[in-house]
Amino acid sequence: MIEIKGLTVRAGDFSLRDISLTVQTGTCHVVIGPTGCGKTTLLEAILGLRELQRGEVMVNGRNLTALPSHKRGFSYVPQDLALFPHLTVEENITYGIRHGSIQDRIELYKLASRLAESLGITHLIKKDIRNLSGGEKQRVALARALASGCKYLLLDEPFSSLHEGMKRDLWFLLKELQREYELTVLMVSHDIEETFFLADYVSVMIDGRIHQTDKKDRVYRSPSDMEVARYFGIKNIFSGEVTDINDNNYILYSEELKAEISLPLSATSHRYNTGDEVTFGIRQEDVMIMRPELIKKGDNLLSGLITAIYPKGSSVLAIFVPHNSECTIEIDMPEYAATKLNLKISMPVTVSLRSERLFVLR
Amino acid sequence: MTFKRLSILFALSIFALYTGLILSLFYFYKGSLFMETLFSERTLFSIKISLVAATIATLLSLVLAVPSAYALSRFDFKGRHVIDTILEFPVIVSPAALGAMLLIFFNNPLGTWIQEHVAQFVFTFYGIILAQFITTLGIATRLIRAAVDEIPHRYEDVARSLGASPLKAFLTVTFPLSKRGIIAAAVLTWAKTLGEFGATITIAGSMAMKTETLPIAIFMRLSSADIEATVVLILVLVTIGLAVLYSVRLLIKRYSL
Repeated sequence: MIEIKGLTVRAGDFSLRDISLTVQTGTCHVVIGPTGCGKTTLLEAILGLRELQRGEVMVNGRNLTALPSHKRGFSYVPQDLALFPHLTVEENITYGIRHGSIQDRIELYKLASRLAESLGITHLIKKDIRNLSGGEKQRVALARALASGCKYLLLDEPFSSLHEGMKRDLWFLLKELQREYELTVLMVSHDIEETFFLADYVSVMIDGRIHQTDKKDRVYRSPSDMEVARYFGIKNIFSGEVTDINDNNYILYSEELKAEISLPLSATSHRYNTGDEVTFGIRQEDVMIMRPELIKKGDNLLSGLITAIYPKGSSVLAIFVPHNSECTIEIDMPEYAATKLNLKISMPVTVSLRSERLFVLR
Repeated sequence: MTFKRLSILFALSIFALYTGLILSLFYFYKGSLFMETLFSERTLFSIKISLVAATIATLLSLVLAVPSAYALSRFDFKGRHVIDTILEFPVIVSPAALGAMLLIFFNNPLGTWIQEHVAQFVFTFYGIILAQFITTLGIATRLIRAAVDEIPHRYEDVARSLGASPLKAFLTVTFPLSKRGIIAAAVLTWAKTLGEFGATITIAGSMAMKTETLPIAIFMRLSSADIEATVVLILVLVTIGLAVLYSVRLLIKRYSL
């Protein structure tokens, strides 16, 4: 288990402030955030390449904060991979075995050759690093990081320079490696799809601060605050006043939507009273256009017009404006569903903001 | 005229300038005097002393310049910018002034003590090495720093994460990757020391068969209006310098250093 406690690092004008997170053994924890939010600085601080102002780095209860980088026992794959260009593939993979302070070299050479096999790079072993493709380089970088027998892997956006197809192949490969070699992975990324594919836990970092840490489905379903929601591209954020509270729901009136909204009490741990202002939201893909025969069964129903349609390949983004309202609601729906509904601009429709999909922002 | 052609023309003009200077020597060249001057005991001594002193001074410069350049390139420490600026010191102060400063130093109590208990520098072979070392150290450090700057520190970060100590990461990653730049820096430093004159004559003097390096020999022959012998010595110096530079370039290419 990797524990980061109250990590504070200054890097020029930028600083990481009070970062705490725990990476459970055998899990993949992804820190996601926009470019320049401090993700790489965080990894460098954990590796011991940055001076800490405050905080601790611990592995299985052992405090590593005072140890130099080469004694911390983390394997690291940086964004640019940093494969040693003067060495062959084999020399790169075995670098840690040859130059690290390692006891059982024979076992590790066996591990290196097993890794080369798992990663499908055995045929490249004698090749010059400069003659490899982008995907092959990624595989060599992963093999090099793992060949020294280390179980704690730090990855800095290692797949960001690859095209979609190759990236996906490597996602599967990383999952397999994690399972096979029981790895504990801390990865930083700005790619939302990659994060939710690979992660067990997700931390959202914005401007040097962790805004939310949770299991990936909870982060996906319930962004904690406006900045996290904005980072995930969620536009459907509204406010409403609590007008009533029953056994299961808050009843809100939203002036923006000109509608009454039912919000489950379980959507927030905070207790609101009548008259309180609540900011709530819903993901684009959770807004449902109701087929006419099902309209009576939906909750939080809003009638209005479709004002724009943007095809996106396998899905369609439609813009919906409720009657008597000036706000817009984005709807992301599968392309086949839009075709079945014969969705058109200026078409009157009824949508449901499904209450179980609503989230509350701090 | 296109920009490309114009820039090539400028490059050719540099070549023409230096070649013209070398060719102009042949106006005073006397074939019969060439072998006699070249193989005279005094000239051979000057060649030997120049090559030995330049090589020792270069090696000494490298010993100090490589770690210093690495520190200046990689670490942010107090005084770094001052040190970085002082590297230009030998360039802004004339070689004669540098020599004079050395001479003055060896006349103060510490200098006198060094002369008496460590080694004699004034008017000796050691003085030549010291003058050349002082003159080229800053340039060597500056050139090597540029070579190390070219190598991303990320390579060392990864090497260290793989268990290599900082020294091992330097020796196994940064040094081999910057080797080409370091060799180029060494060759340029050597060429500069070979031609060093001002500081050397000030501290080591111009005693024939004792401290007379090739540039000093050229100066001495010119002072005595022996133009033909001066031409021969200049040709020797130019030939040695260019031959070494060209050979190193070929070696780097051949062995893909």
